[in-house]
Amino acid sequence: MKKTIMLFCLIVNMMLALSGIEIIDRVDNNLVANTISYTAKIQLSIDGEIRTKELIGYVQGKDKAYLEFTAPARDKDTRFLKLDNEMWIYINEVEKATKIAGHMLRQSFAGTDFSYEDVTSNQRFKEQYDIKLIGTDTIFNRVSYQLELIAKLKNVTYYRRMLWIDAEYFYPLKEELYAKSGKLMKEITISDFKKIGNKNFPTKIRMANKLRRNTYTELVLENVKLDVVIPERIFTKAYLERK
Amino acid sequence: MLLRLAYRNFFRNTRRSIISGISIMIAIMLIIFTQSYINGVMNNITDNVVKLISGHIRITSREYERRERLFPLSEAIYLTEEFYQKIKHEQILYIAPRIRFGVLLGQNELSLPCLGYAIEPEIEKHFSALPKRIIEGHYLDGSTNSVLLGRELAKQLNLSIGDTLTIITRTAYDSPTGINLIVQGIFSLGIGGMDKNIFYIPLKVGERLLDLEGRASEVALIIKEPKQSLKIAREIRAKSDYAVMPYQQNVILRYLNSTRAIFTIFYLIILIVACSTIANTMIMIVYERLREIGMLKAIGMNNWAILKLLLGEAGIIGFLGSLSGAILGSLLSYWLKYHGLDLSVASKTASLDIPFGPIIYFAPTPTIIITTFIFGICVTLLVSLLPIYRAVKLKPIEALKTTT
Repeated sequence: MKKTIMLFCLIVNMMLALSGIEIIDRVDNNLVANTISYTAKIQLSIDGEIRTKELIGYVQGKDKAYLEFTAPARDKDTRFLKLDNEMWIYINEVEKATKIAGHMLRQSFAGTDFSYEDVTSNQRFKEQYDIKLIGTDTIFNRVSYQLELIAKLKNVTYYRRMLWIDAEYFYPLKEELYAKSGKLMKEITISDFKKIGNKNFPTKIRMANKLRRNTYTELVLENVKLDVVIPERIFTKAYLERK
Repeated sequence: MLLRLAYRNFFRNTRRSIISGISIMIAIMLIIFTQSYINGVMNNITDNVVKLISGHIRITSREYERRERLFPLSEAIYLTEEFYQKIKHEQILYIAPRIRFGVLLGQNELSLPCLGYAIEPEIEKHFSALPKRIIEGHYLDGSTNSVLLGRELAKQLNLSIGDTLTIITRTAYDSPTGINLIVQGIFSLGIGGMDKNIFYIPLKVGERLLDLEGRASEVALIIKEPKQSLKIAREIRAKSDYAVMPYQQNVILRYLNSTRAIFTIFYLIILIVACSTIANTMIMIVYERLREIGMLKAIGMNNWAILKLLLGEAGIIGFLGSLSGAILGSLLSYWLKYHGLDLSVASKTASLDIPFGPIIYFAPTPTIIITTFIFGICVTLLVSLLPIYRAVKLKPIEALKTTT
């Protein structure tokens, strides 16, 4: 009974009608922070075989990101630095930072279903897309708003996104990412989030690259800190190349 | 008697007969030349495919073969004693394990898509063209962090002997990996795609780089009698669950072989065009000699004898034209068989998919020469039949009435 009343209240609330822009504003407020730091476990599944990697990540604004693998031993000390539109990789054996070409940022990040851009992205949807509210839907037993986002900037990776936004916590339960041709490229599902300050921040994200067969990658974020001060030296080539 | 008459008729308008003969000669020469060239190109590409790409037989895992374009290194073969036992065959001369992998190379940023081959230098040097095509520096020595670059690739990367090339790629298990390699040699195979996009490193280095210790993405076999490859591949397939591909089933070679049928049509068109001259000659001969033919018929020569007489004349033209064409075509083709035709300008643009060049050695065979020669005579006789048939069918009285 209690559940039904809550659901009823929620639907009434929804009918009081938030616009697409208002919904995406709330989503952006949850997903985007001035700084993000975290440790993460990546589980990559290929044909049912699971490979686990661990990393630490620092993100500042939309232009700076630093990622470093901490496990397994084979990957340890492999580091990535994003500065503006440039991405650098450091591998222990090479002993110097090497720049990855711009178009490669849309390629697989360390063999996962995420791209380099996906893992370092910290930009508001509203700045990149025109928003259209399609309606409401129930997904994973959660009432959600369904939004269609069409890119308004030229260099956006995914031309169209379909988002199912949790109507209570305002984070995406599911996203479908499409190319301009209309082809479904990736599918994201977010199965857990954490309340940090005033943000509901996703902590368990599953990405399935629909252009690959039988693979998915699950990213579980731990020790997430939002809007804390990250030392500027972390976002430098010197830090990337440190011994 | 008829043959002698036909022979004498051949000289009644010598210039016209010679012109007809020359057109046949040129066609036959052209066909022998083209066939020898195509054979040479096929041999050249087969040789490159065998020595540089697949060996006489290529062994991979089935899954690797299925997803080959993606370089699925995790499907590499384990080079165990059991593997070597399974592929054992008395016809095998060399077993060359290799790892083929894709990388992006670049000096300032990684942006140039290239293909790396990790090879066993000591084994490959016995059959590969590579050691002979080193134009600077040395061939690989086996275990050091060294690399051989194609000439064009070295130029694009602005690297010379002793410089360092950094490779960043992914291991078989998708971990980012990298290595610094010293440029030990620069090769020029004369095949555009290979000189521009390929580099070679020692297998040991490749195993370490790609996390594939004791494994290879493909194994190339060199066979004592290459023609036995199909049979040997069948035998290995029967006792293992690997994907075993003899070079005859290589996609490139199968595709090129399938184009041969198109060339046969091309030869036929050349010959028919050439034979239109002889058809024209025969029409003129028949037209000129209508009264004569009528007279011969009137004095009792039967249709069969008339047919033989005129066919004999066409046959002499066809025989002499085909013979001289066959001789000239053979001389030219055999000369180019030993001296080769330098196609380095064209081969510089050859892709990795169809690796030809740079020098094409023509490959004429007695079969090509003899069949083309016979083909020339037969087609000449065939196209002459129509005008001759008209003469044969002529009634003597009508023929005698004509005023030519």
